[in-house]
Formats: sequence, structure tokens, C-alpha cells
Amino acid sequence: MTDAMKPLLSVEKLTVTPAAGGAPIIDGLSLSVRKGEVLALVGESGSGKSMTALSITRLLPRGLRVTGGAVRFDGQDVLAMDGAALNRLRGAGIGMLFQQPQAMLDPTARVRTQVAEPLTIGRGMPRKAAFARVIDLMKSVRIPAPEVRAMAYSHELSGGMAQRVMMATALAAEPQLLIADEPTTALDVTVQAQILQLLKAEQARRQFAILLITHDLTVVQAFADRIAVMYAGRIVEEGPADEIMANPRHPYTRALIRCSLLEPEADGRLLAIPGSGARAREIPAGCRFAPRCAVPGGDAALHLACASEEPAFTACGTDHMVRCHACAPHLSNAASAA
Amino acid sequence: MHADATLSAQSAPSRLRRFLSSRHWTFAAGCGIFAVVLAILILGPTVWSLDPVKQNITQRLDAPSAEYWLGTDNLGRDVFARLVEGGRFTVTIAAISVAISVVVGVLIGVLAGRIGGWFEEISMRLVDLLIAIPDTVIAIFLVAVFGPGYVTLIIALTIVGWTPYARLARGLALQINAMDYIRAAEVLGMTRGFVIFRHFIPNLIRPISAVTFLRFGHKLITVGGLSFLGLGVQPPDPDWGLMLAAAQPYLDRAPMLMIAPGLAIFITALSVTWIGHGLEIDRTTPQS
Amino acid sequence: MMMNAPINAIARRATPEYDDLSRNDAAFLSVDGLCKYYTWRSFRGTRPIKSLDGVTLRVAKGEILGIVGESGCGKSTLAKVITRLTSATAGRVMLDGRDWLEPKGEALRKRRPEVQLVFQDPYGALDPRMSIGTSMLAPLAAHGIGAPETRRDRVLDMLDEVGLDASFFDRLPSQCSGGQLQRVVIGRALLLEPRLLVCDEPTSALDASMRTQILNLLMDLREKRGLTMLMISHDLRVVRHMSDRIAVMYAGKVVEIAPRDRLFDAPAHPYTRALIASALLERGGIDLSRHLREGEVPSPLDMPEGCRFATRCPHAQPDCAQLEPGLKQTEAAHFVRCRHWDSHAALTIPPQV
Repeated sequence: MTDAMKPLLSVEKLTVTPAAGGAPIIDGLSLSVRKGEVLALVGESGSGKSMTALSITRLLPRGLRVTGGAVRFDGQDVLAMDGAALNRLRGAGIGMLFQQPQAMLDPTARVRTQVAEPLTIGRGMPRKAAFARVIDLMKSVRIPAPEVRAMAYSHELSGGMAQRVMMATALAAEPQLLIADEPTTALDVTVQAQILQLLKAEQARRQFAILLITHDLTVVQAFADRIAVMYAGRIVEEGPADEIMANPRHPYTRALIRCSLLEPEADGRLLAIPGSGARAREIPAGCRFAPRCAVPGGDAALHLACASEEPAFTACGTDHMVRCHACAPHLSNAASAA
Repeated sequence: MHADATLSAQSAPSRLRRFLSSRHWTFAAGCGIFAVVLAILILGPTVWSLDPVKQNITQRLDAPSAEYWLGTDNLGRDVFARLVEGGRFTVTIAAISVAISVVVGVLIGVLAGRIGGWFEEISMRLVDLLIAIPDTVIAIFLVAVFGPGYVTLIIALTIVGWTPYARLARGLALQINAMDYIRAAEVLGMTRGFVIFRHFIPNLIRPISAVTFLRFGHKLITVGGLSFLGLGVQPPDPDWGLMLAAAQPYLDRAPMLMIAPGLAIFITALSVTWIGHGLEIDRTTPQS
Repeated sequence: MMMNAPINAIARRATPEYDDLSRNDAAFLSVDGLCKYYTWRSFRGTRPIKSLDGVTLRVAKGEILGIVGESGCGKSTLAKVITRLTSATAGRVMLDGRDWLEPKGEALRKRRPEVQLVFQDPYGALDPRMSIGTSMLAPLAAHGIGAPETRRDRVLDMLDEVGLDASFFDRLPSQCSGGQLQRVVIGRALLLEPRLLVCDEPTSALDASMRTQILNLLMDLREKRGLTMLMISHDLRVVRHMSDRIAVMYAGKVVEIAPRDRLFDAPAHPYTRALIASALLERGGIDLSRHLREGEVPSPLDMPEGCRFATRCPHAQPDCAQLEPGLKQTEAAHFVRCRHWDSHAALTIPPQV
């Protein structure tokens, strides 16, 4: 594999388990992000997507531990890195945008000091030059009156503003990969659209990769190059964004798309996925989505397969992988009927 | 239609059982010890026919024996009997002052939080003023004016003792007031009485009782301390603090005279502090 | 309505002509010139925070009016004023011909069942120490609805109607999922047989799969009971699915009202177009510069004299900032607050997803 084709970030069969025991939160998850690409990791709350982001940069909370798999960034083994190497990795290698901006902002620091940190500390830029760049960055994330806001303290910012400051900080570091966990969820929809527009422009200009973690399919469909769908700690479908949105194969993906975009069915009602995904990880055998899946219908053999055997992650088209018995080639009649 | 019924309908285990199982072990220990202490103090005199005042000069400063379980003091009185009697005074005084403080403080605090306006302003500024004054200073002042005695002691403890409860209750009232279910109660047309007695009070009980027990322990020590200084219970009524004071000259000859009341205060205060702490802390939530 | 004379005068000046809309007096719910000013005390004196500044709406019986807007537009304040959680500074709300803002105290409490509210956060809307059954029985007892012996059955029937089985009666909120709790909240509100149901972001705190369940439930209940609803949300898709008509709010005022399909086929107000383009992002073409200029949203402390969208409007004319436009009719049942709407009406939104 040539360097150009090797993925920038590669997660292989990652398993994360609670220290106190119990079902793994993330169970054999694999994904990869190539240079300059936007991969959207899609799932609902409880699917484990935020934990995946934290695992990649080794920021898991105390009660969770990586118990299997590998994470490789730019060829290096992240899970084996020591403290100094990790510090170098975070920021300039992998930048992170958290869901809660308060977690990332120092309440005692002024905004401009915060945003300038990757420049002054990370790259040794002189303060004046760094502060000028800070103003530029703040403009690029549409913070109004940036000169004034730059002097404010982080605790004085509203939620939406704090999220934008966080974005400016992450961009200042000029990372090769930006992991963004619900970066625009708290923002108004017009602001969100404007920020995504600018983020896309930045990304196209500087060619960094983005791992976008979200449940908002509107954002995904407009912004992502590739989509990976997560359910109960595993990836259940993956492929180019256009392909997944146009031809979703996994029953969960199809249902999620219809639920998120709120397209009415033939009878005017909305598709509702019965049950709840809360206990999906505790299912001992078989497909984790089976209890909520309407696809097998009357097909007894398919029911049996879904209940007893975990489907493998296989190809169902060029560059389109899915984890579903019904989508496997030899049972394709059930899939097309769904 | 019953789409969510797949979430298994777990039988709701009784709230009491769930509460108990989530407590730190010291809670149970505290409850047990305090129950024993209370049993001794309440039932002791009747069960064991104790006489705290009978003097027996020939047997002064005796070591513990079968007849006098903790020995005798400098006047030949039964130390154990005096301990039990003294405990009744100390614990009762502390309990009464805490009870009055809680009722007055919570009432003022809840009203301040719910009504706001000038009432809140005035009451909270009063709280700010009084909360800084220690009980001991007030006690000295009142004793100087009215003479010593346990009524004076109770007044001294309650006159500023209500302030922490008022502050806490106001804070809690404001917190509860901000909850959506209070808004919901308003929109649903519930009466004011319902909101106060079914929404506010039940949600206040847990935090207030935790603080109550913690401060009860504190008050016990304060009562002991004030009596030690001669500002509280007067002889011949026994009191743990008084016993400590009286035991000072005889420390080398009969150490039990000091150990007994000292340990009594310590054990009782510790047990109620454990109870208060146990009410506050939930073992299932991670502690930093 | 207790207010200072100066604020009263400001409020009166804030309501431009509503001739067109006012003609529809047969409406079930009429909101006219509704203002809500909060006071901001600074050392310089008090200034009004104009959260709602002259909102006018009409809702027909059995209709669902969707109200959509971004943060700061005043839609949550509108919910609070209409459910009488907070007082109105000025304006009028008529419910089926009767003044809804006038009753106070006990008289108001008795009439509360007429307008009910579904909250955003189902976990917050229920007292965590009360079982679900108790929470649902209490309002029935407070209003003396039904004979006491029958109330438990009423609650059980309602639980069934919202799709929960009888075991939920004894459960605590902490033992239920968000979607289940939201059903309880809806059921509790419906037990009072309200004439108007106000839903303030009822699905924003829920996952995609729970969201569709709740929306289906609300639609079913509307069918069955002929409910009149106000559906308030920042999510245009939710509003699009649920509403018969939609009102778009911006900076404390309604800027456009139209039947649902008409709003999406031919939005007249530039802000509506920006909102639709942002909410229904097309593949690869995130280009908002056509719809929004760089500019600040006006602060509620300092509302401009003229059109409030002028600072961000790509089609702003010199006269826009001078004088506030009124809400005028463009077509049957379509009203817009823009003087130049027909000159840029030719711009249409590309086909949406």
C-alpha cells in the first residue's frame, strides 16, 4: 500500500470495557480516515460514538479501559505512546472538539490566551503575531466583534460562543485530523450552516481530515465524504456518503435516515423504530439490532440466523460494507423486500 | 402501540430498601451506635436503678468495679449514673435547640426563597449578620445578663442556630423553584398548598435532615463545651461538660472521671455525624 | 396588566397595523400585539428587554400552528405567556372568544385546564419523588374532575391511550426512558381535556427514534380528539411534519405566516429562505451567502426602528432600516413582514431533501 493510500487514522477492532466489569461499551470497532477526508460517525445517544473519540486520543474517563484492538495514527501506535508523545499527538496531530465546551476552556484564562495557546506554546510564535492570528481565527468561526470578545474570560461566554472559541482553538493548532464531537449541536441552524461552510472551506484549503461524530443526518449529508453507522458499540454500515444516503442497506441505517429526516411514510405517519436500544449490548448472541428489526418478517431461517449468529462485516457493493444477514448476497431477496 | 413495553417492567423495589442499600457503611454503624446510646439514656435509669446524686464519701475516687461500673467521683457518686443522667441533659438540650433552629430556619428560608422581595432581602441580610457570631460568645453574654442555666443555654444556641438552616433552605427552595415540574404544577392548576407540601417539602427533607444530624453532633460538643466553662448546666445537675471540668484535678488519680464523659461525647457526636454524612452521600455515585 | 406608564407607551408604539390578519376574527385563538418586556436594571436606569414585541397570530379550531425560529426569537417566551406562566406586558389573547389574559388568582387556576403545556425535558417536568400514577392523578383531584373512585381508571385509560401499559402507574420517573416520560407528560396534560395544547420543543431532548414515536402519538391524538395545537420548535423538519400552518419568528415578532406547503414552495421573507436553506442543507452546496449577509442579530435591549432583519438581509433597501414593515397579506392566508417581498419573490429554493 503506497503512502497516499494508507489511512491517516486507523482503528482496528477496538474494544472498551468498564473497569467494574460488564458488557463492552465499544466492541470490536474498526474504522479508518484518510488524509483530507471527512468521515461521519453516526449513531444515537448510547451507541458509544463519543467514547470512540475519547479512546482515540486516550482520554477515556476513569471507569473505562481499552481492552482490545489497536489505534494507529500516521503509522504510530497511539495506545502504546508515552506521555510526551501523546502531548505531541494531541493538538498538532489530532485536534479535538468536545460536546461540552466548558470541558475544554480554562475559566481563568482570557479567550485570546486560550486560542493562542497552540500557537505560542505549541509552535513558539511570538505573542503579537499569535494574537493577530487569533482574531483571524475568531472571524473565521463567525464570532461577532472578535477584538472585544478576545479579551473576555471563558466563563463569560454563552454556550454557542464557547463552542466557536473551542473551534478556533482547535483550528489554531492546525491538526492533521480534527475529531469533532457534535460541534454544532448547540448552535442555531443558520449559524451552524455558516460555520460548516467555513469549516469546509478551511478543510479544503488545508486538507486536514475530519472525524465528525454526530446524530444529525442533515449535517452529515451535506458535509461528509464517508459515513460509518454505529449501533451498540459496533459499526453496522460504512461507505461513501452519497452511496449510504441513497442506498442504505442495514435496517437500522434505513430507519435512522427516515427518522432523522422526518420523511413521512405512505400513510402519512413517521417510521418509528420500536423498542429502545438501551440494552442492546447485553444481548448474548446474534445480531444486536434483531429485537427491533422488522426485516426477517416471516422468513424463519433468517430469524434463526439473526438470533443466533452475529453477522460479519461484509461487502454488499463496491466500497460498501454492512453487518447484516439479510444483506449478505445469498439472502438478498429479503433485503430488497425490506 | 405498546412499543416501549420491551423495556422490561422491573418491579419497583421499595424505596426504603433502595435507599438503605446505597448508603455508606458508616451510616448503618452510626444508626446502630446512636440507637444504643439513646436506649441507654432513655431506659438506663429505670432498668438499672441509678442514682447520680447519692454521695458515698468512703468510696470516693474508686476504680471501676462490679458495683460502680465506671467507678466513683470525688464525692463518691456513681460515675456511670452521672454519665447517663448527664447524657440525658446534654442530648436533650442539644436536641431541643436543633429542633427549634430547624423549624424556624427552614420556615424562614423557604418563605424567603419562594416569596422573594423585601422579605428575602431582610431575612438573608440578618442571616449574614448572625451567622458569623459563635454560640459561645452569645452564651457568655446571655449568662452575664441572665445568669447561667439550661434555659439560657438553649436560647443561646437557637438565637443564631437557625441561620444555617435558613440559608440552606432558601438555596434549596430557589433550586426547586427553578425546576420544570413546579412550572408544570402551575400550568396544571395545582393549588399553592399542594406545591409547598407535595413538591417542596418532600424534596427538602433529605438535604435538611442530613445537615440537621451533622449540626446535632456539633451542638452536642458545644453544649459540653459551654457547660465545661460553667456557662450551661449548673451543679448538682450532671452534664458531660461539667463532668469533664470537675475531672481535671483528679486526672492522675482517677482518669476514668475524664475518659468517661469525653468518650461519651465523642461516640455520640461521631455516630450522629455518621448518620448525617450517610444521608448526604450516595455510595453509588463516584466521589472525587 | 401591571406595568410602568413608560413601558406601556413603548409597547403601544411597537404594534403596527394588523388590518389584514385582524379581519379573521372567527379564529379559535387570537393573539394581538402581544408584548413581553423584561426589565434590565443597570446603574444607568432600567431598560426593557423586548423578548416579544408585538406578536400577532390566528389559530383555527383543530389546527396545528407551527412556530419556528432560532434562539432569541421569543418563541419560548411566547409559550410562557400563552400558558400564563408569566405576565404579558401588553397585548391581547382571546381563546374561543373569551379574554384569556384577564383571569387572575383562583379564577385563573380554575380555568387552567383550558391551556396545557408539553415541556422540552420530560425528566424535569415530573417530580422525581412522585410515582407516575400520583403525578397524573393530582391534577384530576385538584380540579375535581370525575368521581374520586373513577380517577384511577381514567389515568389507566390515558396511559393506554399514550401507549404505556398499566405497570407504569407505579413507576418512578427514574425508571423510565425519555420517550416514555414524554408520553406521560402528554397524557397528564390531556387528562384535563385542554382546548389548546402548547408544545414547547417536545422532541428536542429525545433521540431520533423516540422523536418519531412522540410525533406520531401527537398526530394520532390530534386526530382522535380534535386538539388545537401550537407546535413550537427550532427544528424545521419537526414543524414541517406536524403543522397545518407555520409562523416564522425573528427578534420578537412574527415575520411570516403561511400554510405549510406554501411556506416551503414559495417562502416570501428572506429570513424564511435563509432558515429553510440552513435547515435542509443540500448535498455539497453549503452556500448561505445568497441568503444571509454578515451582520448582527439585533439585541433585545436595543431594537432598531426599522426592519429587524435589515442588518443581515441580502436584499435590504435603504428604506428598510427606516420604518418597520407591517404584516401584510401576499395571498390567501399568506402574510409576510417585508415591504419588498415581491421584488425578490422570484428567487426560489432549490429542491429540498
